[in-house]
Amino acid sequence: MDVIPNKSELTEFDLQRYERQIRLQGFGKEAQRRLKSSSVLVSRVGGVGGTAAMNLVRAGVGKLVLAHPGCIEPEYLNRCQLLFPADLGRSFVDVWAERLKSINPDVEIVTVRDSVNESNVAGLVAQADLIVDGAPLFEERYLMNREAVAQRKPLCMGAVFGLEGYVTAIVPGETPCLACIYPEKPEYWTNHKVFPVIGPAPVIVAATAAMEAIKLLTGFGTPLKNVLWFFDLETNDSRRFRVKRKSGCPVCGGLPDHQHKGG
Amino acid sequence: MSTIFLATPLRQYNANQPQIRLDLRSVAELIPALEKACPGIGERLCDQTGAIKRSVNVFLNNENVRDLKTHEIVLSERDEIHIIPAMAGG
Repeated sequence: MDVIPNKSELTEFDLQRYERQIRLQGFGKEAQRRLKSSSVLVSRVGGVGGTAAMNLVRAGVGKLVLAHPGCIEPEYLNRCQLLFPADLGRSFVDVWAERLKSINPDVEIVTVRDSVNESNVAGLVAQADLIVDGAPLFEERYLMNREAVAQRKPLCMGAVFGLEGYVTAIVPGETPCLACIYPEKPEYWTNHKVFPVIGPAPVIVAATAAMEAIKLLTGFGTPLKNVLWFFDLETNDSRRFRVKRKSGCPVCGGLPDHQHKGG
Repeated sequence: MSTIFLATPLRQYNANQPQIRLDLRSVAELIPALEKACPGIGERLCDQTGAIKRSVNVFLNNENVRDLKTHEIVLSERDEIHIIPAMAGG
């Protein structure tokens, strides 16, 4: 009789591949097992989401659900780390699934050729332990935020504009949600091409969001809870802005406060 | 003089510069002083009632001014204000 390995069991190759991070103080094999048994929903695999997905697969996350509509256009090539001119015209999620599988053939990838919308958001969030949101439209972000709160799923939110970006870790009941921090979108944000951007900015946001996801999934380190971490690569300014839950928030205001004291 | 850092979408009102120094006694003086120095920026930052838009956060030394009990806090030379509109780029 064949022995079916436990999904989170680390193989000999896993131990070699992840040896450097397993050696991190406070990480170890247990964190690696947790990553292997974890699933992450990535909303849009553009400059932020795609790069975050790449980092999550490299770190050993076991399953990714990728949601992104349409096909690759030239304007994405300035910031999407694993997309090339030969990919133009191909489906975003198909190319990303292919690339992520080449990083780790064992990772399970679910592809959705659509953006997050009212009809699919609940099902998508239900498939994941955690969400990374890199969507370029506030409508998608507010929808994802609402569903993450409804299903009590942590959400790593990262966004860019030009050379600036910010990241925060949203944990329903413990931290403010997106609607607490920014209840409304800017009136000029009317489509997904509003923002200018150059590669390094989304790379920093994506790497930080991926690390926040790893922290929340494993318990390693100190996540950006109640902090909006902001940077500007034009001036090299970076800040940790304190953000707080709003008791009247229409999205998360009804949740009991689970914030840990002294954390 | 306080230092005010303007996020990218606001720099067009400040000759594309990321910061400006203003003589402010309190946070309450921020928007009128900014509008005087950077004409047009007030409309970008405030709604028709004059309140800061809900798509914009203003941080005084890393604290959101909406969380402050009063906007009449006396500002010092070392105080820094960041004005950060919401963003969603990816």
